[in-house]
Amino acid sequence: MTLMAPMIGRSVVSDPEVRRRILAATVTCVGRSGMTGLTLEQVATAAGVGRATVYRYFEGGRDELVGEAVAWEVAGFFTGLADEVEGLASFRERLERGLVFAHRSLEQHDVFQYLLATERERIIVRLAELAPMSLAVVRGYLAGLLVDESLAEGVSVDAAADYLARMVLSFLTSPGSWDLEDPTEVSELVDSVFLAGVVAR
Amino acid sequence: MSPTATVDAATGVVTLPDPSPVERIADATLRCIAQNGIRATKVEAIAVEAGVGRATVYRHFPGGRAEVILAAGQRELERFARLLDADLQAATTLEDLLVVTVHGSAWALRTSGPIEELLSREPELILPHLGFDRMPEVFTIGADLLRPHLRRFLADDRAADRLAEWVTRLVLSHQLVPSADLDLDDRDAVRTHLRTFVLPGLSATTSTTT
Repeated sequence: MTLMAPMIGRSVVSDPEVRRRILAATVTCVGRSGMTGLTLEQVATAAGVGRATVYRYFEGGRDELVGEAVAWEVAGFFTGLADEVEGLASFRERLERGLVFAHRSLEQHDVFQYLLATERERIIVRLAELAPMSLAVVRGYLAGLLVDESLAEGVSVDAAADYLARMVLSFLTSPGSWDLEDPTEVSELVDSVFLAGVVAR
Repeated sequence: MSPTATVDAATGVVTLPDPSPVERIADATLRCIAQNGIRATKVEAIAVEAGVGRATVYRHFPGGRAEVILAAGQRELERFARLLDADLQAATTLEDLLVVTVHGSAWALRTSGPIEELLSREPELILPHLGFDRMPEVFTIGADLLRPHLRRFLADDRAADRLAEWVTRLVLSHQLVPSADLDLDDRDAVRTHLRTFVLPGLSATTSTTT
């Protein structure tokens, strides 16, 4: 593969598993050195590939690599969220569990917390750039579930999914005055802010 | 808008009537920010824009540039509150009050020269104040602004502050990622949205006074 690659051209050297390993290694390294202190050597070593390979996958160098790694981690975060609520019986339970799990995961996300403390501007601007994608992912997921729910009169699946996705992301950004560690509060939150206008009563 | 307020045509910065020297300097700072962003706004430029000497700026703001910029931020917030206040006062139902809040704050954000400049050219200077661990400060600003008005319809401060937090979330979300389907400049669309998703949640959990 390494020998053949230059001859067959760049498009062929895209192995999703190698790409995934480089991105995961980047997230790990960013958690130690930050986004600006990161070097491609570090990433290559952590991923168990050569430096040239990292360049082949991310021609834009460090900036592209870091940008892509954040997007990859965010996408992975939402996949983990969907897995966590998979199999729960009701839409309501999924929302409750999802809100609590998402909040905890973010609080316990070492790399994110490290960046928030050390490179706050940079990580928040990157996450803001990713907000449309995040919103689309959550909205799409919720819309898939809402088609099976009995919605309040006049409420479309799309409008409800957009509203709920915005609230999910907002609460992920900050629980505000709501205590997401208190099940009674979570239940009250989901009943009022989330579902009161969405589901048929 | 107050009839005696004047609007700077170039920057959209509104000057409220009868500014004190401190307010004049803060307004000049806002015009500088609207034109050149925060980084380029130095005390020298502020003084020129305000038509005063550098020494005068420092006399009113011993902390220098950082203090002036903070004052400008507070001034913009004050402007925001003054612009909304008459409409908030005039609202006779909770629904009207919420429509004014969401529609009015989206309008005020969109028409603010300094905020528009920051969001488009120096987002790294404004976005970090709007996310994660700093969010409670934003919610407090919203709650302080809306509490006196909401209390006309809600039984206690807690209910008022939670509702203020809720609408702050809505406005910020749409500011960050505008919706293709909901235009916050469309008052009727805002009303329908609030009737659909917010008002039912109020009767569900909070006691409202009539």
